[in-house]
Amino acid sequence: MNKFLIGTVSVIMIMLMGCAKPPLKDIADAKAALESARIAGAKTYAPQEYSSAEGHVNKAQSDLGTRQYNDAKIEALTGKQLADIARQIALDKGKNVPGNAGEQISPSSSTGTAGIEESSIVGKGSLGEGVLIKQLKMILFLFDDYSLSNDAQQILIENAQWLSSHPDINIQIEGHCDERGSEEYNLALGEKRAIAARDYLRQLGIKTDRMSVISYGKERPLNPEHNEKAWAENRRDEFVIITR
Amino acid sequence: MKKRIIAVAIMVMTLLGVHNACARMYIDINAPTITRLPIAVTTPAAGPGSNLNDVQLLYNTISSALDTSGYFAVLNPAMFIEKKGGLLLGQFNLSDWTDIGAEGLVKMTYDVKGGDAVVKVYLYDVIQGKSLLAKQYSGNVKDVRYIANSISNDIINAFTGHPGLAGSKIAFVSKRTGTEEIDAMDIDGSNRVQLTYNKTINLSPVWSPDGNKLLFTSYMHKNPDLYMLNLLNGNVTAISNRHGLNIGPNFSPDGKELAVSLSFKGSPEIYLLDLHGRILKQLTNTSGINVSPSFSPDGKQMAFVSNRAGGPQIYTMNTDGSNVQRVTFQGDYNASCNWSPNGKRIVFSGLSKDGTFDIYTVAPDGSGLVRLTENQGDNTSPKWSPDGYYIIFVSTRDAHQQLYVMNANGSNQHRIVSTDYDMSAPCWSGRINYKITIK
Repeated sequence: MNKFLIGTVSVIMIMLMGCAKPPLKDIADAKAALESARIAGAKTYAPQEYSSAEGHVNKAQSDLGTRQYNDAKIEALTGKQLADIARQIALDKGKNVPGNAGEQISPSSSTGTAGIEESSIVGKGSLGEGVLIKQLKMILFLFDDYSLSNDAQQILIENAQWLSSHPDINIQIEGHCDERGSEEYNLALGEKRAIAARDYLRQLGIKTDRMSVISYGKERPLNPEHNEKAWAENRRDEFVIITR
Repeated sequence: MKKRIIAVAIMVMTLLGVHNACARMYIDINAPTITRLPIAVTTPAAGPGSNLNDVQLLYNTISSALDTSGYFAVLNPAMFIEKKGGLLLGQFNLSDWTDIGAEGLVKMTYDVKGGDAVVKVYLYDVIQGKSLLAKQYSGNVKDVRYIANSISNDIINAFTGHPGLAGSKIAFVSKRTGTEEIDAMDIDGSNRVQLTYNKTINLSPVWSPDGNKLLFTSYMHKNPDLYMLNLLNGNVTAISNRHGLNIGPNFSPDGKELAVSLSFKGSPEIYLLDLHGRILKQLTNTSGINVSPSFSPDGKQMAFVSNRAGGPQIYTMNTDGSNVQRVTFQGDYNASCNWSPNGKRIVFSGLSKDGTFDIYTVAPDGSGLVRLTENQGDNTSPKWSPDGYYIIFVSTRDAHQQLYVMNANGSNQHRIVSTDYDMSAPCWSGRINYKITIK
């Protein structure tokens, strides 16, 4: 507990000197830490710490939504520290329980606990429906375009390889757009982007019944800023694990 | 939580002894430019037992509605020189008003009888010394704002020949709660109510022609599905939850059918549905993008957005899908079309050469393109007012996404209400002066 208090105080001290921009990385890190804690069994072994961490991460997300970036950063950093503590407690307590790896989202039962490391979660899907993992990288698009660039095709090849070696995983492909232009046209464009990725993955041998598509149009930007860089990051497909 | 429309009962009675003759058109609202008519609105003379806040609300609501109409310049009461004057012609000096530049004059009394507010309104042309309106309005004291709306609409009618839109409703997407919910409010920004509570994404609200229903798209069941909210009983029913997109709905002018984009066959195409969601006809078939159908007022055609020629452009077609004509040719991105209630113009948002989105209108045959916004952030999601004299739209000119109204010629652009959250996808109801209550 002492460790946690010192941690929080130091985080706040740092933040008071910072300036306001969306703490996207901090929130993603906090979510990853929370997920690692959950996998380690923190819900069972450190329920108080885990739930507190979860509260801070959720608050960070809602502060982000209301553009209170400083508050969001403090919440995210606090949430991450608490999650790390919760994870450590869970690992210590759960270590001696045979066959226990907590509530796994490990991609393959055959890889056992090794799969946890492999999946290295970076954050949740847009509406929290599934888990976004590093091995399934997102792909980016040009403005008002749903064709797959060479880079996008290369990423999809890697994604297909990973999906081939994890046949028990199903994914949802989320198509997104930047904030420019009409809501309705962007919903359609987002769906075209998701379908373009699905069709390419199918050509690479991934069965269509493992892949669903959904468009969020311009409604769920990854980067909430209003500039070319943010727009480029927001024109994307995300690949979210929905079942295992 | 249920939403219900409550009719607000306001009694209107012509006052005896005054003849309402309105032969002359004072303000031609169809003219390319409108000169605001200077009007003096006096603070209502309040009888005993009146709540002065209600009196002030009455005055503020009327002056604000006259000002935002774009038809009047409401004179500052600090300019008034009348010391003492009655309500009727002959009881006050016309020169007290013409000397300060007024052409119109509103005199009012406010009394409370039982639980009712009783407002007498006298409207004059002080140049000609003519009475234009003399009416008594009464209703529950809680409904002073609605009484004021009725008065404003009658004053506008007396000068223009067309009733005003005070008390009409705007439905829009609001990020007030952090997620995208549908809210409604009056056109002056008052009486805001939240209509959806599902904490997901809710989009594209459109009113039925009778103002009793709202169509919208919602992710409440994890897919962009089409729903209808019945405001008479608060019920929400799924109209189309087909696989894929169920987006961008619009009612036919008779309210009996709707057009919407569905992608269950793989590509977003426009379909005609009945109000139960049954498909009557597929209207487009391009394997590209076809969205945002908007009916012509005679119900025979619709405007829509398609990328069949590359980027999004505005097209028209007959409502059986035949006779497709391209309307816009300038620029690479034209979307969000809406056909005007008089049938003569289509408003849309296009990407201008300078890199911003702006509001344009064009004749349905593609002629007479007019740009209405310039150098004022991004301007998107335009929709006509029910009378076709105004356009409501979203702009980022002052901050984040906020709602603005302008006259159809682009003049009188003003923000409806300032909020610290995003507001988008406005739609203007034709039904005027009623309450939406939550029970």
